[in-house]
Amino acid sequence: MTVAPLGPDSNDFHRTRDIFLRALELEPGQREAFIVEACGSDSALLARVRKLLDAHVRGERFLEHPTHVSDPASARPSYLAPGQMIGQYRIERILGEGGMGVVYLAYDEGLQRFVAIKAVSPAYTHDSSRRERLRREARAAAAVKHPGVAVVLELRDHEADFFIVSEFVDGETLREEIQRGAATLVRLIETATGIASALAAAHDLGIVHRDLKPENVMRTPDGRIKILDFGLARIGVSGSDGGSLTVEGSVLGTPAYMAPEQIRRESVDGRADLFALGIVLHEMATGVHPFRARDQASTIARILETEAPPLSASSAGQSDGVGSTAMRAALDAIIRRCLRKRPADRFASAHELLAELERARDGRGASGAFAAGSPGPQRWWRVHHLATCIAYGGLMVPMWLAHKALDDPGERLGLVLFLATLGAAVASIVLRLHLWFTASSIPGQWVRQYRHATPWLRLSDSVAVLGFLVAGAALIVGNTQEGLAAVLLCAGVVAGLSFAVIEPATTRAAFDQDG
Amino acid sequence: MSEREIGALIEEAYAELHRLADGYLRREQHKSVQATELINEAYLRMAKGPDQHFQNRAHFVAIAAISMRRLLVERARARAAAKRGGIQVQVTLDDALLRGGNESEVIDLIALDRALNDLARQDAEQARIVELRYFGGLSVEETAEAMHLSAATVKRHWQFAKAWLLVALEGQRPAGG
Repeated sequence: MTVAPLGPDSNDFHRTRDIFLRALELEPGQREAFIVEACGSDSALLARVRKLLDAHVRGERFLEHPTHVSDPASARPSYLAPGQMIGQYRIERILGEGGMGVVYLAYDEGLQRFVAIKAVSPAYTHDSSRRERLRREARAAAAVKHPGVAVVLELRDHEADFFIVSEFVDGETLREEIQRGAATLVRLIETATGIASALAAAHDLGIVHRDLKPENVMRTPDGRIKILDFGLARIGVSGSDGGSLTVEGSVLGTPAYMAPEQIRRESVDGRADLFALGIVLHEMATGVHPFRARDQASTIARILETEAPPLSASSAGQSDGVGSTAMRAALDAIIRRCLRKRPADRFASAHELLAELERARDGRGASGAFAAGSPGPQRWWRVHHLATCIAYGGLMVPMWLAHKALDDPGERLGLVLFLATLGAAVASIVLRLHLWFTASSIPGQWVRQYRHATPWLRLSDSVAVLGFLVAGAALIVGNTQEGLAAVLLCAGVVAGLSFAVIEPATTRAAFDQDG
Repeated sequence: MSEREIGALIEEAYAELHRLADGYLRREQHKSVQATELINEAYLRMAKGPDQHFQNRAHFVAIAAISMRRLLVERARARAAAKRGGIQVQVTLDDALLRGGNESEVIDLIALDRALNDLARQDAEQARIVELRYFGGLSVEETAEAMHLSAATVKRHWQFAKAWLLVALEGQRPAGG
């Protein structure tokens, strides 16, 4: 697609627009190449289109919301400009905006690192009692020392300014993760454990988060969980401030993660955070909020009255394979217990939840992974493995004979095949015996061990099957030992079928009826 | 409708919006009011009046958007002239924008107005789309209907106009101009 370059005539505007709009129809990655070609040698045109495309990407929301007519005395925060200094911190850009104010990314010139600065809106700080409570909460949050809680570094509290400086957490929020799709069971349990362990540390100090939601939980690039905004998010709404939920709640964000007692404005403790965690986990497992309704009022009503739907209808954990039924049942029970309406019916503490999560992770959940299977198929599973081990041992004899028949002096194919098959068979036998042993002696570890062993088992089995088939084929090509060739080819086919069809079916039947 | 009649309608809508905006801001302190809300209320009042100048709501909004723009820009100018005193009017970037972009300062309405005039000199239709969407609060579909264009065309031109205005507002030399 070649476009003749244009001179600086009145048509320039429309030419620019034309190229810009055509570039927009392409995938972002293809735009640069397109505009370079479309603009030809007109570098001024190219620069303009580039600048516009850049503005298009940056200004996605620019002008998107119709204008307001407002009174400047309103509680609307005034924004800090990039480059502005707050003490030793240089403002870089806005990270986000919540009910209490704006959060900025800033660079700490002194310690040469990035920090997050929450500039609390004057609406929350001009009242001295509120300001005092904010201070107390910030101090309390700073006392929580746990790798799963973003560290509060500094409180800058001077006249109109009220800045809370905290550790900058890079990564992705759980909200972004949920939008990408449902999590696997193992991922869910890991995440739940990370959050529960951070909550436990805070609850031990008497600090309740009060606004746990997917937006407030980050996963760092190395996979760790960090909870943001401890003890701060709902400072404006607790009962003593009066005011109705609909007014203040709408200012401070959605009430969709509030526990029933929070909605009723009764006294709140750590168990309210466990309720919120239950919602987050349910949402991660299914992609859907358990109390989702067409509007906020209906959501609140459902939180107060309706039981959460069970996980079983969801697709969670389908890719986890063996053991997922028991694990899912355990996790389902955990989530449902978090989501009980009465705090007394939930886990008594985050510690108790943690212990239950550990049981679920080790397959010792409410039912226990191995024991959950039915005894008949489990016997067959054992027979299958035993038979496989014996067959491997027996087949080494024809493989040895094949090596003798194939290898003339100077020829090494038979030996290579024999050694490869022998190695694979030994590995496979060891792994199978290991699984057998685990299933009999430490069933709690079985799911984890199975997951670790499976790829290696598949690899060694594939190598052995390939060894049988190649040796058989080589014998036929060499026109010797047709009987031996037939044995090896049959062994290869039977073993291949067994590993591809029989073994997965037996394992599923023994441990995981649903697959 | 003749140009004079349209001019009279713009004046009428302007006066009504002015009155309403003042009333709103005086009654409910610490609050801002959506331009769309003002326009809707103005329409309801004027539609009740004895002489019906407006064929329908879309027709009214198409005209009221011009009045709204003028009203806001005049207030911004007055505010710039006298920093203190009286009720001031401020137009800010929507919070949502700030979450994504790095435009942390308040939109300079006077600059936006100037940039819109520049844009109109290049392509009046594009400037009009911005006027209807931003000052009139019309959706893409409503804008398409009011301008007798397809929604797809409005959407494409809206995207270009936004990028063009953002470049212009950032003090860079606007494209093609």
